[in-house]
This record gives sequence, structure tokens and C-alpha cells, in this order.
Amino acid sequence: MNWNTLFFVILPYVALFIAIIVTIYRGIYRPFSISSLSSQLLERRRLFWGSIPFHWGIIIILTGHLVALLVPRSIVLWNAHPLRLYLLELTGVGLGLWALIGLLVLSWRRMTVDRIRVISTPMDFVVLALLLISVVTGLITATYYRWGSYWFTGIFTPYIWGILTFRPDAAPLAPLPFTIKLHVFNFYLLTLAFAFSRLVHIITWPVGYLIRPWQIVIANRGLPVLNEEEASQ
Amino acid sequence: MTTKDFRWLTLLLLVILLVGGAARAQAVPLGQDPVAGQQIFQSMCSTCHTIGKGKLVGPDLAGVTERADVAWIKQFIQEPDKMLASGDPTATKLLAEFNNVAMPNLGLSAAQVDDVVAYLAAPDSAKAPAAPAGAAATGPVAAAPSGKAPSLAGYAPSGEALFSGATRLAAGGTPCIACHSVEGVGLLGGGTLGPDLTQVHTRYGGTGLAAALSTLPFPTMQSIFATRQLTPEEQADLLAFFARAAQQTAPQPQVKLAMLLIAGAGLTGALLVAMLFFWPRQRLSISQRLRQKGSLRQDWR
Repeated sequence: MNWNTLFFVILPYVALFIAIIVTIYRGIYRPFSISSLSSQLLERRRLFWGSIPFHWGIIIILTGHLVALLVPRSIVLWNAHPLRLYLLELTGVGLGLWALIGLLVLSWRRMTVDRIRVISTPMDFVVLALLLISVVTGLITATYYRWGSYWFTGIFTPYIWGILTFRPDAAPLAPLPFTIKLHVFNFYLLTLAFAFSRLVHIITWPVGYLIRPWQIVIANRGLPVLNEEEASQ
Repeated sequence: MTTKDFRWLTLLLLVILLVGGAARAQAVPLGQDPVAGQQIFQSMCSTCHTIGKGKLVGPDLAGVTERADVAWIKQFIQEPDKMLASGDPTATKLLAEFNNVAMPNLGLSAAQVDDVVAYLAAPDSAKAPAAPAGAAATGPVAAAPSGKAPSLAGYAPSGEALFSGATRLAAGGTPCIACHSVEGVGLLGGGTLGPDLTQVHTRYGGTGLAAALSTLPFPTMQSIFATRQLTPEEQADLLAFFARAAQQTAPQPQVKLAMLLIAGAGLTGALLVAMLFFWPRQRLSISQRLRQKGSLRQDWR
């Protein structure tokens, strides 16, 4: 037993187990708590400059991680020419910085805007802190320990598949630098926090929208009013 | 059950699982098995060390347990990086003697180190069977070190293609450029997870580098290359490429890092500017519209 096994074999299973079970429990017994708890009605300007960069940045980067996990060959073939490798990597750095700026704006907004501060729970700050660690360690990995898109396919794709297929092997992670390990460990903390925080809103994808029946919307606004008497009748 | 109880229950569950996992993994096998030690030696050490066949990258280890203190040897094998960083006089002297090639931390467990030292103390006692079944655990057993340069003649441009990933490695290993840099390959250079390899041929010497390429005994690389060894042709081509590369000076990773950051920040700036075009399309709230029209009561503003 060592820390490596604890953090990268036992913790992921504990975190995933708790995330799944508690999310199901919450979905059944507290269905209306599954929400992003939008505060757009309270403050919009800073939300726009924080939420849009953070969400788009993080979603695209997470998709990149997912592609490297599910179709590693696509990344390897794309990276076969250094110029394409650099294009992918600098796009990742750009999106990471964009997400970081968004996250900093959101943190600043949550701490300084009175209306937002009063509705904040401690868990909101925990989530912000974990996300900050995640983005910062990710950026350090992408710049200081480059080229992550390439070595991910050699080290992390087999490791994550090992976890998902119940044949875990954390040995490949043992010699990696601290920052990369922290990035992975922090992801498991986010997984742990998932079901207990506003992070659950990730599962509220509006897929029903695609198959729901159409609705008729009639707009009255902007129609010319003929005269005051007619309007009052 | 209230939400509060529920949270505590979850926390308790987590602690039980963690402690349970920790307790289960206590059973560590005892070391000092020279046969197991031989297998580890062949897969992890033999690229740089021989027993009684002379120096390679590192010293000949014949009779090392009589020359040096066993506790010191064990500590060195366990954590060579820390030992060198601490300025241990013997370790520092050895480093200077062997071209400043520091021994990598191999990530062996204490029991595995005991096995290796048991083997070093009595190399003849371990006459392992030809194909030991347990070898799979530490990776395939390497061919015995020959101490000679490989007979194949490598072609440097092919080696460069292998290095940059233009030609895929036959066994499916990750191309070198993912973690290593060599001056002259790519505008932004190679990776920086592993060390720069521009001068590696000078540091290891032809024989040492050939031996290192045959098993790649470095801990981070082992998880990839233990089961995906380079073919003899690939090793020869890469060796030729590294010999050619060593004629240049090492690249400057800081400059490449700055280029990457500037390019990334440029993209971020472009994205932020693009956002400006979307902001006006956001509808104002009713109260904001009333404020703008000036029709909201003064004390409500």
C-alpha cells in the first residue's frame, strides 16, 4: 500500500461510487435541487464575462481529454506532424487561459457582488477552489510538461481504461511530476464534490428538447398600439 | 434521514473504504530473493551496468557489496536522485567519474531493492530458468548486455522521423517528441516532460545509449515501453539520429515556452474580443430597461 494506490486506484472508485449513488439519490428524493442555481437575474454583466469563457473553455478542453481517452489513435495520427501537434497544444493553452480568466471573474463576482455573496453556500466556494486548482495545474502541465496531448495517449489512456474496466494499475503514474498527479487527484476531488454541489447541473442536458413536440410562440410585444382608448378596452 | 445525516454517513463510508483499502494492501512480500533480483537487474539495470564485464554507462557492479556498505547501496538504488541532491561524497564522486550521467530513480520498492542487492551479493547463486514466468511483472527480460555497439547501421533521417512521430514505432510506443526535445526538430521543439536529448549521445556514449535504447529502463518510460520495445532497426536509426544531433547545442526550452504562451494568450485575446460582439445581443432586464428610459421612480434606482 502506498499513496499512489490510495490516490489513483482507491480514491477514483470511492469518488465515482459516491458520485453515482448520491446523484441518483438526489435525483429521486430532491429532484428540484438538481440545478445550476443560476444567478443571472441578480447580476448579468460579470456573469457573461465569467461564465461564457469558463464554460466554453472547459467544455472544449474536457472534450479533448475525452477524445484522447476514447479515440487515442486520432490524436496520435493528428500529432504525427509537429506543426499540427503545436496547433492542438496552443489551442489547448489558449482555451485553458480563457477558462482561467472566466473562473477568476466568477470568483471575483462571487466574493464582491453583495447580491451574489448572500446567496452563496460554502460548497460554491469549494467548487470554485477545486476548479481553479484543476485549470491552473492543467495549464502548468500543458506548458511546463508539454506535450500532454501526446503522452496522455501513452500514459493516461491505458490508466483510465484500467480504472473503467476494473483492472486498475496506477504504477505508470508513480514517476510523474507532482503537478500532474495533483491535476488527477483534484479531478477525483471534483468527482467527490459532484453530487453534493451545483456541479450536478452537468447532467441536466436538455436532451428532451430534441424530441419534445413543437410549441407555438406568439409575440405581442412591439405591435403598434392604435390609440389609448382601444388599448384600454 | 435529513441531508445533514446523509452527508455524515457518506463521509463515514468514505473513511471506512479508505482505511479498508489501506489495511488490505499491507501484505508486502519479503525481499532478498536473488532470482527475482536477477530478473529486475536484467530488465532495469543491465542497460547501464554489468557484473564483471566492465563499465558501461555506470560502474561494473561485480563485488560491489564488498566494496561499499550494503545500507548505502540500498539507499542509493532506492533514491539515487535524493542521494545526489544531498551531496553524498561517494555519490558525487561517482557522478563525476561517469560523465555526469545521473542514475534515474527506478521506482523500485524496498523489497525489490533487497532482491537486487541479494543478487549483486551472490550473482552465481541465481541461475534462473530460461524463461521465468515472473518476469512479466517487471517487464520482459532484456537480452544480456553485450557491451558492444549494435551491428546494424542506422540511418539518421529515419531516426528523426521516428523521433518526431512521422514514422510510427512498430510496437506502438509513443513517439519520443511527446516528452523529449532535440534541437532542430519542430518549431516549438519537443516535449519537456522528459529530459532534453540533444546531447544524450555525448552523455551516455554510443555503447551506453545503444544499451539504454534497447530497454529504455527509465521509470516514466517503462509503463509504455516495457511491452512495446523498439525494434533493432529503430534502435539503430535513433542511435544514428542522436549521434548526429549531438553536434548541436541544446535548445532553449524557455524561449519555446514563451512562444507557446504568447500564441496561447493571443488565442485567448481573440476569443475575448469575439465575445464583445455577443454582449449587446444579451437582452436587458426589465428593471434595466426602465432605468435607461428614466421611467423608474428615483428612489428605486
